[in-house]
Amino acid sequence: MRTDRPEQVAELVESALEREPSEWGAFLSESCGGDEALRAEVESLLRHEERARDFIESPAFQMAAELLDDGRTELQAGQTLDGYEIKRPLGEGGMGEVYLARDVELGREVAVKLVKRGLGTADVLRRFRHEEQILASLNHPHIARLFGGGKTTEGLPYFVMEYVEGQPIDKFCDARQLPTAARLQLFRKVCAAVSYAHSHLVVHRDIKPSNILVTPAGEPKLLDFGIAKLLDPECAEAASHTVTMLGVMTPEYASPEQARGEPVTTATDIYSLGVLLYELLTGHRPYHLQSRRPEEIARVICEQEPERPSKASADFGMRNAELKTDSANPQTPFRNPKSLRGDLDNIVLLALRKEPARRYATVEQFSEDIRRYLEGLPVIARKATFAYRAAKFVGRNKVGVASASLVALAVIAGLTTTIWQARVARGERARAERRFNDVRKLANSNLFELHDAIANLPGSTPARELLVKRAVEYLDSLAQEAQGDASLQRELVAAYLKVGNVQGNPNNANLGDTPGALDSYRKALLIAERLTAADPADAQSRRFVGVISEKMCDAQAATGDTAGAVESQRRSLSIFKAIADAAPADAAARQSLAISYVKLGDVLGNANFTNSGDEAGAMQSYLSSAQILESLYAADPANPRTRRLLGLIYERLGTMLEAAGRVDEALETYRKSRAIREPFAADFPHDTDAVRDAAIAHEKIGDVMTAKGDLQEALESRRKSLEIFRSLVEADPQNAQARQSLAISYLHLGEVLGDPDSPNLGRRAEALQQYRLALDTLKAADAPEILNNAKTRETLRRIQERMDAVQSSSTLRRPE
Amino acid sequence: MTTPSPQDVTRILKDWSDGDKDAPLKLMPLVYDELRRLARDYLRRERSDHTLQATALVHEAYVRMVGSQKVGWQNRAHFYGVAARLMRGILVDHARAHTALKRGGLAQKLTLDEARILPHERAADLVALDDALKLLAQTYPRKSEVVELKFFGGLEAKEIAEVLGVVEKTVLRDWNFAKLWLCRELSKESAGAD
Repeated sequence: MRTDRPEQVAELVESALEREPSEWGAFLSESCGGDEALRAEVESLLRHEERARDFIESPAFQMAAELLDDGRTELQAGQTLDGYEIKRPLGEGGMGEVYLARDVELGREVAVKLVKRGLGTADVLRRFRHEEQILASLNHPHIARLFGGGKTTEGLPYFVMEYVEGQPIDKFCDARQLPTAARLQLFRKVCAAVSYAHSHLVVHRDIKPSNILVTPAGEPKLLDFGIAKLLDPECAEAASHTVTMLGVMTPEYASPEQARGEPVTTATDIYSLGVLLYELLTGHRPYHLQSRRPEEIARVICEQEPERPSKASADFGMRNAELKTDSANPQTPFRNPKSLRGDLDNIVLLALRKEPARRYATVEQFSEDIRRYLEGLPVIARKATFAYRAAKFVGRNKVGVASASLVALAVIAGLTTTIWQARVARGERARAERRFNDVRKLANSNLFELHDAIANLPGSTPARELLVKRAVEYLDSLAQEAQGDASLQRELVAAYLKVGNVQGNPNNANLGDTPGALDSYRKALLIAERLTAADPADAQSRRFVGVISEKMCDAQAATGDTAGAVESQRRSLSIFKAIADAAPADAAARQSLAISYVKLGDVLGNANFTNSGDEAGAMQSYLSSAQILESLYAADPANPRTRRLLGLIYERLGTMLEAAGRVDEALETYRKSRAIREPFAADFPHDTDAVRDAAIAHEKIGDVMTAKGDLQEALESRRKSLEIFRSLVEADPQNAQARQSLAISYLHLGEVLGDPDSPNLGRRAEALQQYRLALDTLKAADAPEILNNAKTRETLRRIQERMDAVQSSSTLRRPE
Repeated sequence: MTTPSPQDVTRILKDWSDGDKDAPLKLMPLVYDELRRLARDYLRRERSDHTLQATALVHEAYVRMVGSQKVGWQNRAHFYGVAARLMRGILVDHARAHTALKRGGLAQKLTLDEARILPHERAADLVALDDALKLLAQTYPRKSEVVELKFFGGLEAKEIAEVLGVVEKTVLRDWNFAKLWLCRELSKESAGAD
């Protein structure tokens, strides 16, 4: 129905929108009088209020970028610039296009960086000549050399520098899934380069991931040292200067002093390094800039306190339950919020201080603090954060229970107050919603932060239990109020999921309350399923159903409910399958589906996991996974995740074949696994998991060869895996998992050499030697304390037993 | 191709204020070129999602093309207006071509919800949105312009108020109304052309 009074319609709709929906009826009765046509028109618009809320709220940029990219570049291949022949474009940076070129005279490859139009003020080149000497003299393994500069016929300035083949540091870390320690070590190399430049009185001014390339060998190279200064029009007045500089820089990396147009010093680089480290550790930048208005950016950078990295990381990715190899130890934690908590938080935040004088004094000091962190020494940046205080408080009070409970109660009291305040403020709906969000954030952060902080303290269990109990009560009451509010319900799903993990997910630190965990998962599932039913297009909730079901599978398997576990995993799989089917070109979705098939196979009938004894079903599921991965691999053989998973699925299949006594097929499958894993580890020598997987591939072949009685090849495989495990321990002596694996590897080598109870080569003395090495590995002075666990004790017992066996058989043979 | 300097752009903007009727025509190709260049940047550079989503191309274009040159607020408003219109034109043209290719020219009406829609589906949404926006303009020209500036231009309410010469509150009311109106229009079944 239409009316011919558009202004009146608009006026009424707009006024209604400023009122609560509950008041609309009365408002319209009053304002429309008896005009039913008018009222109908207004109501037909207001009916869309819910849907319209998020409608076109995010501008169309992403699509704009994709649609507008027509691939034109400024310079063409074959063109020559003062003795440099342009070969092809390499990419674009904030200040211009970069090309691969050949120095015709010297015959070497160089990178030519063309300064963007609009930035090419006439002064750039003049300033470059002024600084050329200093910049060209920077000679450091982690700094890309600057060879020269000039001007194109069109008047655009360009710089010629060392050509570095590599990936931006953030992408490098992600592609190789580097664990935190490796990221920190890489970052320290960057620090060394910056520190060197500072000692030559050169400040970078524009440190960010795209300016730091990492070579395939894992060596970082900093690009564009001192270039930012050349583009910085000193003559311009301060305010407009800010605008220009922020236009050139990636604003997220700009320091407060840069944003304010104040002098740039070495402290500026320290700040940008802090932003970089933040991003490498959490996957986020410290600020979420909502606006590109220079004044607004400057305000955020200068005033807003960044979120602690551990917290920023806690929100990161919800499906972190990655797979384990058969050898059962959890993978190295990747971006584990827990490992960021405390000292590392403080280190990053010290570098990010707003006031230059309150940051680290030098880059070297910054880097040194990270080294101290890596070595477990106290760091300069240590500061009493909430979790730190809580941990200390509980730790000091040996009675534990009572005091820890007090801490828990204090947290809960804080929550209750906020809820109450939220209720009071409910007059205006929008504001109340915002309060609810605050409450939710508070709940998540404090609760889980506190839980993790006290998890390792003796006597804290009652406090943790209380904490979780209160959290559940809190969520339950929130659930009552969340009826009809889809976004709040989604938050509830996430929160129940988290609580469930803390209660009893076997894959993380938990309270061992598996039934409680299942209860929370069920609540989460119920809400998520309702959300999906109400809005089949709600992709996020559907995904949640998949994730929750997978967690339920873990928990059910842990309680021995294998039928339930299988059912949950099948439900989870159906979701991930639907997602993958809806986007056939989405490799990540298909990888995700492949993982689901692996997990289903594990719980159906893989003897290395709690399973329901359906070996044939497991095999079938693994084959489905392999099929997906093989097609992904055929399409993109370089995809690291595909390679990793393909290596894993062949190992799984091999295990099943081996268990079924199909030894030759098992061997063939294990060899396929090795054929994937060996080159993968060679490509990613810093990826501990990749390297470890290669070692396990050798181990598996060793197992089969021993069973087949081909002891020479068994020996060969044992030696290879041992070599790899040894290198892992050498690279990281604190890595308990690597140490355990190395010990087991010595044990296995010893067994092939001369264990009387299995097929062996009769080399008993050498066997004993290997067993001793195994013992030394676990009992070494520098072995981490964490080795004092059940698995290690079991390994030690077994080593001792094998030693005894060899010795007694030797005694029998050599009468003395 | 010669590079337009900030002075050139500023001069065109000033001429515009002084009554030069051809000024928009002179400005458009320059802005168009810059927008394409920026878009390319985003694809090749740090394209982490939040950067893309939270970034207004027209702001960037403004900073690059006008920079620290002194121009009055009317000139700035002119620039934003031109840039937003261009963005809409570029996007919708491309989307139309894309849709024609993919779907044999049949404009399908779908919901426009960021999180749920695959990129190739969004082209169709954009065409539908553009059509709806034209209808809206027949009855509510200013409200339609608000949508153009905000959704296609990425401008904030305060800036839109500047461009249109109204108070910020009016912009917000226009925006909220236009969203309802467009949602209603887009939710009509394909038979619902009126």
